[in-house]
Amino acid sequence: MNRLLALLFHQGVLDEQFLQLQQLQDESSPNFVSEVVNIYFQESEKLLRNLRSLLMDREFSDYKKMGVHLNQFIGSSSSIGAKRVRNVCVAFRVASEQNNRLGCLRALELLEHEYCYLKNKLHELFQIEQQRLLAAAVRYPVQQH
Amino acid sequence: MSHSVTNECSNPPNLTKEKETSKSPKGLKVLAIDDNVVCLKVLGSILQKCGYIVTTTRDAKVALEILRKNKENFDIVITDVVRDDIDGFKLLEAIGLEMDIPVIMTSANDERKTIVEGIKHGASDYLVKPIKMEDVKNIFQHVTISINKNKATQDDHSSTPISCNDTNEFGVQESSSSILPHKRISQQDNDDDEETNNDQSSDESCPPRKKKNRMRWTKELHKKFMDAYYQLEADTFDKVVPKRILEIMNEPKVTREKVASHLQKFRSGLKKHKENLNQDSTISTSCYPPGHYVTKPEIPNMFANQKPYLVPRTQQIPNMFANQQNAANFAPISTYPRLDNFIYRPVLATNAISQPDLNGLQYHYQNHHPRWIRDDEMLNSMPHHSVYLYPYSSIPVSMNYVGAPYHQMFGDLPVSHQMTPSAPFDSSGLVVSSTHGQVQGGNLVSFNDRGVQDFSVGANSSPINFNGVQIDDINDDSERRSNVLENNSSSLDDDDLSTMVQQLDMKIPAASKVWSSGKGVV
Repeated sequence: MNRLLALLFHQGVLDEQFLQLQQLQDESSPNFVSEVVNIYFQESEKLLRNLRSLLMDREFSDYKKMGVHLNQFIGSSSSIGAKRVRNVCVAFRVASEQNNRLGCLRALELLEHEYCYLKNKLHELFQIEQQRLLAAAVRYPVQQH
Repeated sequence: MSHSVTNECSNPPNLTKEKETSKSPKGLKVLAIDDNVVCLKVLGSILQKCGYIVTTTRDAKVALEILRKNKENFDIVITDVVRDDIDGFKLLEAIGLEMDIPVIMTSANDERKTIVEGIKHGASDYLVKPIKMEDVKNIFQHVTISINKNKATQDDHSSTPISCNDTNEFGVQESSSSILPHKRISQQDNDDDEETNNDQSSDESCPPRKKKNRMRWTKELHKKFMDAYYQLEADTFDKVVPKRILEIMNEPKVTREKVASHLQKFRSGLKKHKENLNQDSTISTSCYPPGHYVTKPEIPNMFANQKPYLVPRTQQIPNMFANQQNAANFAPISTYPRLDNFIYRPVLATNAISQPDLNGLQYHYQNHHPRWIRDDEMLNSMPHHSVYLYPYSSIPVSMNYVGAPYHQMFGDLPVSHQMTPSAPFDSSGLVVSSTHGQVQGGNLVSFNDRGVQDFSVGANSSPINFNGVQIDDINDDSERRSNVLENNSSSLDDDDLSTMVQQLDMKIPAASKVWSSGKGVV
């Protein structure tokens, strides 16, 4: 698990904000990290859908709205420490400010790719954690990471 | 996380004082507003972890309702900027108008423009997401600051001409609802007044309003002063007296004495530069009656006779430090000759500018070669110019013009600035650079890219001395970057104008150093 985390950090997928998230998890909120991350997944998928439809639907996409969505995406990504997703979002936002449709499309593709990668890895992480919890047969959350 | 709206009744006035003084960072009551669930959850959790009592909501309207119902129960509000329902700034204003609670803005948007706007709207602080524990730990400071602010204005009352209300801090902070809105609104009125003046120069650093121990000649004040001065001068020839200026300025906060001393300083500065000008100028200013050879109506003519610099210089030097926006007012674009539907403006010859070394600077400091340059030409070549580095040699108008996009660009800067550091790290470097590469089609982005390099190189390699620049409210890099020039214009204290001119002279080499070292890499 630590190895996986180290890998994700090394790849720049996650940053120290994720560690802060883990620190926030305590007895009062034993599943805090997974709760937040799950909300993040829901929100992000909504946002990704919206972004795609905004880019696909019309000839003239609503770049301003796109910017708002991206701002949200950046905010939530940075909050959980999804560094690479955030960086792609920033690039996406720059492209949308330029009304650069091609740039937006590419950025969206990249964003989806990065998001999927992040999601898979985080799921993996949670699964490992779950297994460890089961193996240890304890109900309280693991403190050390 | 938890929805814990405490329903205390409003405290009786005599108790509020005790409550106020015994307030510790731990028990601080915070209302967090964010329509981004993830951020809100994290923020709420962080706040709780810090020992604050947190109420969270996604809906700005709900937040306002909560606040209206029990405004005594919140010490500080944290809100995001970009929202679907109510714009964060509007919410900020609403909170500022109705109650005296410090507001902290948060946003993922780290553009300088937005941050400045947030602060201007009255935010106590602006936190860029992700919000870190350390940031939140310190928010109690703002509660203390806002208390101190009220105290300070009270103290000021005896020593400065700035008028303020007689409410004591606790009255303002907590109870006595009859006084509270009055105080806030009157403050807000002043703010609004300044705001409207500020609008044109929306990107300039705003002078800190909280510290008003001395009479500060802010840009706005100085603009009013100058306007009044020139109005009087045009009307009455040499009969400019402080009293009349004061009448025209119509600023209750300013006393006649202050105007008088400022006028004296302004005149001595003017005189000095007139002398300097007479020494080295090729055109004689004696064709104008002494004392008012530069007045507003002269400006269009002055461009017509092809000697734009010599005439306005005397007038503009004290002026342009004080406010660029005023400089813009002096010669509106429409006064420029219009050819081929393009607006031509006088700008320094490109070749003169493209010598970034000190000698080049000296050279065209003395020899001004104006050139008419087309708007679109200017835009295209702008990244290579650094007209704004040479306020002396470029006339204020063009400086101001170039200034505007310049700020915008630097407003955009943090975006790419964020990305540059990420380039070094392995695979994600790929990600970023590829996206970055493809958006480089636009002019702005490519400039941004270069702009970042410019700055970083400059910052690393040369010991730039920003000391001459009087930075008091600048602590982040992005501001410092764009404030190389601006600082001069940010506020005109009671300092002698001529010393400021000297300062600028000293600063120009420093500024050119930034530029030249940056250029070497690009």
